[in-house]
Amino acid sequence: MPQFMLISQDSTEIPEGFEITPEIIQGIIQKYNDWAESLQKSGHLVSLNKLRDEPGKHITGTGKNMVVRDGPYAETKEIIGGYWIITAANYDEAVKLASGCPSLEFGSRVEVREVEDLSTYTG
Amino acid sequence: MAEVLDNQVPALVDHLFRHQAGQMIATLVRIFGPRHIDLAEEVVQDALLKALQQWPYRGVPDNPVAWLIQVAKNRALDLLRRESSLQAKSEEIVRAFSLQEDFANRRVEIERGGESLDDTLGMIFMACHPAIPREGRVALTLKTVGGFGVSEIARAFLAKEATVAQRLVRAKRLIRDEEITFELPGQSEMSARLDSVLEVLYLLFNEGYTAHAGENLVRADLVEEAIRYASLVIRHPATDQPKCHALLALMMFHAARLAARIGEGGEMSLLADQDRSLWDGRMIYFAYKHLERSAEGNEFSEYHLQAAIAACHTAAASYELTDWAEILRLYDMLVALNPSPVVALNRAVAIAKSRGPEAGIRALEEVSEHPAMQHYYLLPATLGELWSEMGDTQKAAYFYRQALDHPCSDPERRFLSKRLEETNKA
Repeated sequence: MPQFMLISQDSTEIPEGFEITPEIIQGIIQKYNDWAESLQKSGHLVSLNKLRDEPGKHITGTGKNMVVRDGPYAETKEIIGGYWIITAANYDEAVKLASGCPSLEFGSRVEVREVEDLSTYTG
Repeated sequence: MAEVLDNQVPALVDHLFRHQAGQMIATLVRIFGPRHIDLAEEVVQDALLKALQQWPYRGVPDNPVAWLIQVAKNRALDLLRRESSLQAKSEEIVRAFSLQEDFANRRVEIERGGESLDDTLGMIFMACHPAIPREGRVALTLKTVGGFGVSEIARAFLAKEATVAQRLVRAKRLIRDEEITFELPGQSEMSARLDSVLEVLYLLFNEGYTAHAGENLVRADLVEEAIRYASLVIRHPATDQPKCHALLALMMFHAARLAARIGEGGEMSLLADQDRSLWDGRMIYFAYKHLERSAEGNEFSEYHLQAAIAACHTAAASYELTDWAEILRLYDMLVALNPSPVVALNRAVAIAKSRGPEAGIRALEEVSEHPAMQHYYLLPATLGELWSEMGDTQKAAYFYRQALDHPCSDPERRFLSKRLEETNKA
């Protein structure tokens, strides 16, 4: 079964005047939890992970010409928050599964990419 | 955790963040000192935000409580590094939070006893200090002990957010200026301080039980919180007192009927029309247990009487079997103890039920002159009912219309409009 990576691009800023109460935080996490649980129950969830909220590093060049800069997100307000790997028959199903991702409700963008199965070349 | 969650995704406990926030703020306020409530709140808010950033992607940790405590401990230690006046506190932080973590790892409900119960009660007593204005006490208790946001408090009490925020700032300033301490009061001071706590819990409960406006007839979360705090109060030996049991009994008798009070579509259902099989028998059982405990000792408070009245209603197998004579006797005692117009209004209802509507209307004449009654919709609403029982539809309609001119919740408004319509048809 093909695997797909769902990448969530989150905003790093809390909208002004928006109070984050314990109840709201819990509600948001509950939504993600419910979604992940449903993916797990249907057997679609392979793995999930969070990336650290920092710009990270950007490397170009090799040897003496290698340049390491602060990552691509240093100047922007969007950052890849984390990712989920799921199995799906095709893009249509992957998009359908991703459409339940709560990040979409909070204005984030979710990128869906198929993972190339390299074993088909070597095997 | 690169690989999938092996087990099922752990579920989030209802109100986990709210209750855990209260618990952690209380411990931090004890250690930092009352003048640093803001810092304690900041640490806890940071810990909760950390969960918001991580849990969606990593799943809820196996033991969310222990996770939150650990993160809060680390945040607090970070904070101590920049607050030079608090640097000596780090050992205490490590000790207190490691203890709580320990409890959480053994999956023991932390609030149930020991140091954590002391902390939570210390916080309740501090927030309910009589030097703080009543609204400030209510707001600060909900914010710090209950983990409510400013916007939630504003919604619950129909106040502007800015007003609630201002009350909180003033309350915290008073705590600093008056040097209000965190320790439970000593014996000489206890009774008066406890009264102030019980008053706040009673207000919370009342607002939850009958929302004074808005789309919902009740706010179940306020009822739930009031019962939770009262249950904490009786758990501590210093505050395990008869009047506290009386207040808890009174809350539980009423809360047991909540499900039956709200009919289909959120409409209100009067005591006479309620499906008594919907009453929560388990809650009523515990209410009686607390009523029994309230009878120990010599103290006799308003809460005792109100609990006894609520018990009378609960004890009746049907509305027709309600012992109105006994209820009236209890109201007579209550009026003697607290001659408030609201109590007198309720007593008038008991008079009407035991001696007929005319006697009730006469009793209400005295009540209606009270200035506090001029904007209280229940007075004309009651008069409307009684005149309708007397068969005088004109007078009934007049009072129903008057009731509708006063503020009340949406379901109550619909109820009154329906009554007015029926009266007009009759």
